[in-house]
Amino acid sequence: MSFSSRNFASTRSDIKPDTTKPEVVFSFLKVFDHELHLLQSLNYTKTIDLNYDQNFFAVGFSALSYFQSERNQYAYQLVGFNKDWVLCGNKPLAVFSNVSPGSYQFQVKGSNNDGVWSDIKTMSIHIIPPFWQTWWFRAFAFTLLISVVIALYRFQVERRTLKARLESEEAKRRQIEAELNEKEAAFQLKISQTEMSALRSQMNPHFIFNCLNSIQYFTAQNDAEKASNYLTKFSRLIRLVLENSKSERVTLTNELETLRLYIEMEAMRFQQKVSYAIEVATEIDTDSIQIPPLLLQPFVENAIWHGLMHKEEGGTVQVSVQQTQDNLLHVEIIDDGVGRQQAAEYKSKSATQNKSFGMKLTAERIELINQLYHTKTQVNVVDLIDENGKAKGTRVTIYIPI
Amino acid sequence: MRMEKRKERELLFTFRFNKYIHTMTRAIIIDDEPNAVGLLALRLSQHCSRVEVIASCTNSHKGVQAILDHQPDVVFLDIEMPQLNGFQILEAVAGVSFSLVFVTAYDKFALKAFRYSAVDYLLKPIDTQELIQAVQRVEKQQKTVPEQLEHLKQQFISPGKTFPNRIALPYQNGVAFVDIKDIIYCESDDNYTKFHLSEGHHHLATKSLREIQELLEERDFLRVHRQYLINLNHIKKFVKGEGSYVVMSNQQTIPVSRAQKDRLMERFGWL
Repeated sequence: MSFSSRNFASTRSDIKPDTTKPEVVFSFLKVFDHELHLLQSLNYTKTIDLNYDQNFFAVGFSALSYFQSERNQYAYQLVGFNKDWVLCGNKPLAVFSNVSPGSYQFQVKGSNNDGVWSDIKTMSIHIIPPFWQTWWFRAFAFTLLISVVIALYRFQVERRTLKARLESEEAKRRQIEAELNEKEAAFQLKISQTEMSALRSQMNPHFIFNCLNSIQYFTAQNDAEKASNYLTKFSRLIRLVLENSKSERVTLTNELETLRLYIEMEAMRFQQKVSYAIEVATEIDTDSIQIPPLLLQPFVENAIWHGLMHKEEGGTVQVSVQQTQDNLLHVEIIDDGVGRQQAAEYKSKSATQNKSFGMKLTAERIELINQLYHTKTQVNVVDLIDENGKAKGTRVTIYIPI
Repeated sequence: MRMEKRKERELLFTFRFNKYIHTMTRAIIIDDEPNAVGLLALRLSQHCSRVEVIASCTNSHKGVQAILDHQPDVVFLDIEMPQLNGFQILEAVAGVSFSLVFVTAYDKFALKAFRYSAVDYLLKPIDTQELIQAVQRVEKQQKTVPEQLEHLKQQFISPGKTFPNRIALPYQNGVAFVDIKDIIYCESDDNYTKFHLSEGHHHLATKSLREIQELLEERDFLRVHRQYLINLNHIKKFVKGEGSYVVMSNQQTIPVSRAQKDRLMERFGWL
């Protein structure tokens, strides 16, 4: 039992309980143990704004009831944070930690020493979310993210298409390059092949071994002089052909000498069948005129093998060289053989491969020479006919620009 | 086996001997080049005294006529000639039987075709030894048979495209044609070659194994041993190690020489 100084004289039964509702006031607001100083008194402030990082705070309050104030009771509730009222005895303090951003109602009530509760005192506390938690920021961030993703995607797509386009362009370029190379190589190959065939048409193994066989006959007959003579000619021919086939141009002297040796070898093999004449106009300087090598021989070979050989009694091949204009050489190869028509008939009957590198090859070669040197070498073939309309040979005219 | 061979040789000797004594070999030379005809005639008279040149022609039509008129034992024939070539001449004299020797300057393909058909040939310029050997073969062998010429012609019709399926094998009394795929292996027998064929058949050809090898090694054949040329398509088993050997489709075991083991493995790998 205790006695207050005020109720000094009264008896216990006389003492009436204090029914006056006390008033509750806020006494301070501390954020992280530091009191918050406001422009207005805390009690008149309707709303308190706190930053998101000020979310450790304590509210102090007090009931205005001073009689046996130690018996005053308090209860508070932070609506939105606490689920229910928190009784805190006579300790007038509410401590909150780590409160999420948002709007809260802080409510507090207190009682006097007799347990009469005051009205609820309310204060709005608004914890401002950090900018990254705001809806607008989130919307913005989300939009930004989406746009970045879209942009990245687009960039990627574009890069890929660009890459693909570059690649296809590169591939196209390479293809074109390869085609060009191929064409170039094909052209080079054609050149060398044609050169080779030109070489081969004179170095035809068939021709070579037949010549040697013929020469062997003279040795077998003990005709040493003839054998030696033909062996020398044959060697000269082979040497000239080998040398000429490597050059792009040779002198007319050189070419005509090769031609003469070739015809002489054929005439050696077929004495009764092949006779020949080579005429060069006196005004021509054969040492200074240059022409592509091995150009004339195929025509002469053709004349001998397809003109004269089919004729029992043989015949003559005539080569005449004239210079009708300053820059044009005019070579005529005339044979008095069976003519082209009959030669073709014999040819079609032949069951074996044709060894003659005739007109086709030479035509190809002339075309190539024209391409290479931008010249216009032309060949003109005329069938010769006697007064009775019968074939009496062939005339081939070759116009060689010089 | 041994007795048989000896008998064979004795018979051969008698056959040769009789021929040497009793007959001259009558020859015709056809070549468009007079010097070539002259050379061959001269060489024959110098080195082959039993050969009598009864006609020589530089004109193919005259050549045909000469063969028909004289019915020669042997014809030396050039292939490439104006008017009628060698084959056309042969067609024109199809009924006449003689030994044929082609004379040619150069033709890689033709040479191969001659070998597949076992038709004799000489290369220009004429080598005297080769001429003598050719004449010896002519004297001891039977005439060139139409089948050989047909086989030859077939090869010329499609030159260079396909290999012939059959090969002509000359033997003592004639020429036999065998399918190349039926040859299991070839065995050297002095200067002759014994062909072991499927279904147990044998053939003794009067050609050396080296000559056969030259033809068949481009056709899945391999000389695995000094003594043997085998058909790779007939290998059943290949046993490696010291003393390698192969087992052929007829169960015959063929030794593989050390030197040839690698080559066989190389070819066997892709087969």
